[in-house]
Amino acid sequence: MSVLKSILAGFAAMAVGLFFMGVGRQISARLQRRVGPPLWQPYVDVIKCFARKSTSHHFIMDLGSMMGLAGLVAAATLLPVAGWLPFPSGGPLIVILYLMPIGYLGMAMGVSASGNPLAAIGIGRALTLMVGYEVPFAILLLSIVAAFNTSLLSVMAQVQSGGLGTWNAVRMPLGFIAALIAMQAMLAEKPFDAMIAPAEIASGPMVELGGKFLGMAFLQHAVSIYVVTGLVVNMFLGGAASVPVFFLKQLVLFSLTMGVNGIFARFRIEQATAFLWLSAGSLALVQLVLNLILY
Amino acid sequence: MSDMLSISREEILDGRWERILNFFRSRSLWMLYYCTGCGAIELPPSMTSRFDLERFGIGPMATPRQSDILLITGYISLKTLKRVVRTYEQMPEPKWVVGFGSCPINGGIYWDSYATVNHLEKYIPVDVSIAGCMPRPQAVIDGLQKLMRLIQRGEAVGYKKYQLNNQWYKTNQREVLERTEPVLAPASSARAEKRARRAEAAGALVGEPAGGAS
Amino acid sequence: MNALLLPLLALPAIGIVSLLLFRRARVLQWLLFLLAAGALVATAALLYGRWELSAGLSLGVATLGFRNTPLGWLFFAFSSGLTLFIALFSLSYNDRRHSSGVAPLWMILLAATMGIFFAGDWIAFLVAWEIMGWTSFFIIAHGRESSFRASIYYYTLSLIGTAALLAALFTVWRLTGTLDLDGSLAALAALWTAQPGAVTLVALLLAVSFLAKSALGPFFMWPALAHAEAPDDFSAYLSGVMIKYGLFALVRLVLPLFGPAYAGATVQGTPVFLYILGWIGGLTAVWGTLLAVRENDMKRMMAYSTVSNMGYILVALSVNTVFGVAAALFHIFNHMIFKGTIFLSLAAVKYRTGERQLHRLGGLAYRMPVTFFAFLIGIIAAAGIPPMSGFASKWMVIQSLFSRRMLLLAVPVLFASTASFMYLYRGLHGIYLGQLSPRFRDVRPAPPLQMLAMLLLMLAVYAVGTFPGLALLPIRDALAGLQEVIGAGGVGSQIPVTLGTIMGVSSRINLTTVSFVFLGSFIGVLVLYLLGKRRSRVEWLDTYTAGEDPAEWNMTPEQYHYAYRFYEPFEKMINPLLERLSLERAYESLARSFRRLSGSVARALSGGGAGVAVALLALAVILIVGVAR
Repeated sequence: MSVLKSILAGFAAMAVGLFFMGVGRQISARLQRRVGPPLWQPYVDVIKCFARKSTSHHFIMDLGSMMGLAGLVAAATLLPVAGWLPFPSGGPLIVILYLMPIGYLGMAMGVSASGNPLAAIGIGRALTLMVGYEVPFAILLLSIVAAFNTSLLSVMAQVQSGGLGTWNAVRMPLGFIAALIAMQAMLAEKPFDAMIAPAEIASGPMVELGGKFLGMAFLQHAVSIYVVTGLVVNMFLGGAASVPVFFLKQLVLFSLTMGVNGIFARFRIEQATAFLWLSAGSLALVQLVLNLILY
Repeated sequence: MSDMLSISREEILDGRWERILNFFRSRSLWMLYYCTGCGAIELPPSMTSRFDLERFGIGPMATPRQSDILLITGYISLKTLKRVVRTYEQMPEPKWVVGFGSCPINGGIYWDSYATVNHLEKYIPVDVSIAGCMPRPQAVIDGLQKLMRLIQRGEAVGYKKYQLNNQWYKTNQREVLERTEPVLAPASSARAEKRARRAEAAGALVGEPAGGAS
Repeated sequence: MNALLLPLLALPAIGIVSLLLFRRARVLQWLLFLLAAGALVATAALLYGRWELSAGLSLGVATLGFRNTPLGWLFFAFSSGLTLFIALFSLSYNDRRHSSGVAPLWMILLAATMGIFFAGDWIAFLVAWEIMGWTSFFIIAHGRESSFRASIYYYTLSLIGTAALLAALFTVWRLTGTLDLDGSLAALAALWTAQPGAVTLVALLLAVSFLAKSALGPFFMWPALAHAEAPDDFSAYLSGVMIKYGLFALVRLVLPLFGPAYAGATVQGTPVFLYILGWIGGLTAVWGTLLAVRENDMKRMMAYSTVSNMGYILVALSVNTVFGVAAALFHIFNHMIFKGTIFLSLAAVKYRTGERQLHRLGGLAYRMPVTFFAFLIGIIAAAGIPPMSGFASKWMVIQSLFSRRMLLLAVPVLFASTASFMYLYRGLHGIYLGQLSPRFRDVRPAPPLQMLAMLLLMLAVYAVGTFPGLALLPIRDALAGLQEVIGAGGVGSQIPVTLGTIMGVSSRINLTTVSFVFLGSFIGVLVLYLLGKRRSRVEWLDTYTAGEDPAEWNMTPEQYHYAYRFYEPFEKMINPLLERLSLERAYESLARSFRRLSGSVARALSGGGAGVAVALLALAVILIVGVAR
């Protein structure tokens, strides 16, 4: 039974993530005073990708792409959605935080095996940026542990279930701002998207991906949107009482991200990492110290 | 010079299952703008807010592996043709070529130049040609919509033509590209190199070139 | 002559015999080494549960006492297992061309290791420590000039440690009057109220000695030289077993001083001394990681990774709870097997290609797939990613910090853990992926015995990752007896584990479920992959190069492989910091002043009778004054 529920969780992650991507493209379009593609455009994109032949240089490329998506889908099954989980894991945050890099590292292995140095440059930049955003996010995890002595997402959501005043976004505003900045980098949106820079490194890691590999990369991005926004909703926006409200909150967060994406240019990778440490990192650190004192 | 293979319509057009997939393919076209010539100037207006190509699902992609359409904008010089052919062969199938402007059709205003080719269809199969010098964004959109309809009907099969008539295309390419030489490699070995490379049918590129580097 | 003493005496004997008799037949030496390693594993099986066993080796002037304790047995069992796998590998690695001839010395080293783990009194400990020091000195040098310099560096730092250890031994003798390990430690721990300064001095001296051995704090530089220049299979042993001696000694000798009898100041529940040690560990973790990112030599990079991991272990030890010690021991075990896997795969690469620099390698996964998978599994575990074993131990380390609310210390740990992805991926890409150089197009896969050793280690990493209880249950049983010594009661005094789950402070995780979830997701994605259209293989140089043909521009695969200065943006950011805080300059100025001092002394003494007379007079004065007091 929990196997079926896990499969459902995986599909939901992909479907909801793709829908959010569609909304994101509409937001970008409207910001640029365009009509933009229809909301279901990413579904069509993914099906088209899988309907195309592809090229690969070695079976390690296939293995890496699969591993990348598998890690993120596994993280999606551990994410509580309005308290619902496919199996009783409680939503362990540290496990999810360590499963998510499999997305990057699996894809990194796959695209390295394509032999194109542009892919390796892109992955090098992505990993440098990861140090920039994972550290503030981990410090936020520590702040919540300092406050509530739990690192289970379902417990965190429960603690904030008493209305708007109990949300961590209100009780720990500095941490919430740090989370928003870190989230922007986790989703690889501008100004932190130097690893996908199409003009500089020909879309970085995706340079040799075509057909189903590109489809899996798209799905990976969709699932990462779902997981990251789900994490922030559980940690700071009080979870939700029902699943549609949860998705709505995720959508609000993602719209905020895409709004910022539409306005900014791109940082260079060392500027981006330094900025993340100085802004998100210091805010999170201050929040941690505050929580250690207050709770 | 051999002739093209004669083949019936039913054999080459897409079957019914493919046409279901074509519904999705036609609504999500990703273009690689190979901005070969001056025609490329009309692409930014088509893509940006005023004429907005993205509402049809058409978007830009960075590399040939990711894109469906190879957009040849403007004249094709001999130097460019070699790269265009290599890019076309790197794209996975199904793939389509859109000739943009008058130059791919009949040479355009450079019809009497020694450095350009006049008819692109002799070298790679062109699915849709958009005439004009340069075509306005409305014409571009019209041409791309025609391509979408062709794909939907299963009639945009240029890539299959390329597979079936490969010898014919290759002969044409060789005849023209023989005139060019790489700039940095030594001149005398370039021809021998090219002949040796053509001898290996798959064009294996790994191995020390004749210059004996490293 | 019981099971404890027999291997201690037999091993050096076999070693010396093999050196004398089989000097030409190196293969026989390594075969003996494999048998010796197997015998050690058998000894470990025999010694389990017989905690009353003890032995004494009489040397005329003193008796060396050895005792079988659960903690010592645990370390012995772990290191014997790893040694057996390395011995399998070494048998194939040391063929005619690559043989390093260190097998006899290594056997003596195995005996010294056993002596350290089972030492019953201070003299035995010191003797075993010293024997370990000079055998490893000669093994690291293994007859080569460049390795000799690395050996001297390593041995000098080791000497600092030995000096501190000797000073501590004398102080303990002065304070407690007994040289029996457990007895003297208990007596010292009772002295906290009476003579806190003296006990702190002992703890400080011991800490200096053991931090130097485990490359923590200001002593972080020696593994980069020593592990890199040592014979390749011995590097696995160095990083796997030898660097843990300091941490074992910290648990055995220093932690009991801070047990329930501790009466000094505490910070957040743990003694100030241990709190400072914890911060040293955290900063070492960060420093090791930052230095590893810059490295271009694969063995130096992995040596710095070892330094970083030792930092995590010290952090776990500093919380002074049984849970913390269990986390530290678990990470020690995990580090042994995944670092062993990594170093053995690097040895296999060196065996086949002879290269160590990242920018000269590349694409070897296409020719040596098993070696590649060993390295991949090793680095997934090193990164602390489920479902491999590294995650469970890192999780436990972080949980042990939670139990004391030492959350600020968790920040450098998490930073180092995240930044480790960077250099681990760089090693993977630089050596195994990317473009295959034409020089290595005909490289054959690793020999079967080496592959077997790597496969067994990979299996161990995966098994412990899915069922952490395989290692944690023995650890829990070994620590059961240690509770009175370290500190009972309160959060963290239990280690609630089952075969697949660990109960921490802030949550409980079921690692078996996580592992199966990942496997299930992989199968699901595989189905998705098979639903897509067919893919075709293309040539290596057929990549996106903006339409250019690389061969036309005389571009070789070596030039096309991106490996040199991989993290240039990151290095640009951190280089100013590393330059300013470089300890190398401090050590170099110290070395310069010592050289000047020794130069002036040598000049004074060599200038004929006058200098020597002055020196002898000074010596006589000191002796008279000292004896008179």
